[in-house]
Amino acid sequence: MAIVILEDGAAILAAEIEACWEAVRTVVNAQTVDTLRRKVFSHRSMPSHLAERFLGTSYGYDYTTSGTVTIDPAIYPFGSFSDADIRTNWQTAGVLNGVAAAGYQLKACYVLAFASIEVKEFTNTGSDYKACFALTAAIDGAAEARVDPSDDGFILSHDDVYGDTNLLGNEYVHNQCVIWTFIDKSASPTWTLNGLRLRCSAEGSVWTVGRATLGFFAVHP
Amino acid sequence: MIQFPRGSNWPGKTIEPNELLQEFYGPLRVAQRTTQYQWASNAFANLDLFATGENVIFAYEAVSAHFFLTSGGGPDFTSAFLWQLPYKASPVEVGDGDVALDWTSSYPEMVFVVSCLQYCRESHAVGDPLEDFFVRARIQLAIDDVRIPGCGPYTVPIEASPRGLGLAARSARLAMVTVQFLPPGAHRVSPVASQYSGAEVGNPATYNSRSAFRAGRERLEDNEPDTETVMIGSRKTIVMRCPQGRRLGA
Repeated sequence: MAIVILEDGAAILAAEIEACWEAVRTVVNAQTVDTLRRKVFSHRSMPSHLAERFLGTSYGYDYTTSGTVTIDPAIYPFGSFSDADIRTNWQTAGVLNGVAAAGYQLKACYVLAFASIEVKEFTNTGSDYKACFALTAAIDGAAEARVDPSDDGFILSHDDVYGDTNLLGNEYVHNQCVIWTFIDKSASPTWTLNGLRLRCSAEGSVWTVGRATLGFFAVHP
Repeated sequence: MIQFPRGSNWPGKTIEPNELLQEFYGPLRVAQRTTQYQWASNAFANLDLFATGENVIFAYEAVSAHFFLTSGGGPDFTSAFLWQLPYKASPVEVGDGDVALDWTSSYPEMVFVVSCLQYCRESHAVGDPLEDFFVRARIQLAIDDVRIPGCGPYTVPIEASPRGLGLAARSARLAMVTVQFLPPGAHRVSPVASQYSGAEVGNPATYNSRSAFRAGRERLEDNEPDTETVMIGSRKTIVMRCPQGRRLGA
């Protein structure tokens, strides 16, 4: 859209300004679906990218109340990082399963999900101890499982820089465990995200989760 | 954001250049800044009409590398998929770039980058010849080989690890998150990591250290190989690219 730069002393003609607006009108009126693609999207368009759904929402978020999640190895012992062990024996520290636990019924989309845990403290039993976490999803009625085998993590009893565990004792560790995962359902016209879970287990010590969040959002491809 | 022309009918008045400028700048602004707010509220109800990958583009790379924790055992540092942090070197790409993502964009883009990974090191017990030396991991996120400050990893530095001097904790499951605006062109995103010098930092007993590396406490001679098991396990990078858009037109 050219703009004529006036020369000194030149007359400003109404027709020039009218022509400018006419050019804009012509451009806007000529837009088609083909041109309404990347050319007009921007970060301001993000709210429009949230995927369509049939029920409920296409995003979710939950968090724990401070200090309310205790991982007791006597109740939720760590066995292995297998999906079967995770869904059978691990504690559910957070769950998102949509309206009336029916899940999230979505159209084709991408899903970004995250779980963030802050371990507040643990009891030092003097032995090797660990807290383990996993972010799982149940999709289209299938059994709950990690989306990717890397969607788990752990925190060990940490010695100090000298390797001495006793210096810390029953400590406030404030150690984080953050897991993100990505679900590509861009080729599925409709599908159901039955639920997301934050699972945890422990060994050796009782761990206290100070804060934890679990959330996701679905984005139209 | 609708702008109506005011016209040039100012009889008997001096034309103000700024007012005249608005006559040109106004339509330009309309043309360039059109967003969904300028359309009907349900204008995007038929997003199916848009070709996949036109409005938001995802890229994803993950490597699953476990420390083989077992009930009563582990971690195990023998997996070939684990990646060792180089000692006293500038940060290099985690996994030698196996979770790096490359792309070439045609438009300016807002880029949302997440990288998360499992970090773990061997515990060195009291009496270990290495016990006098520190292990402090430096883990960051790099875009186009530039380490991005302020995007994490979000974990609390502990044990004589003042902010900026690396992670002393034995293990952590970290995430780094950033939003950047990138110009058109070729881009690369990857987590990067290395170990800081093994020199002591201040006095850990007082927990008031700042940033002083003490001399004479090097863990290893500079040219010797690193024998400490300081590893990164499962790792992944997720990139969400949102095109900035350009002016309307063909």
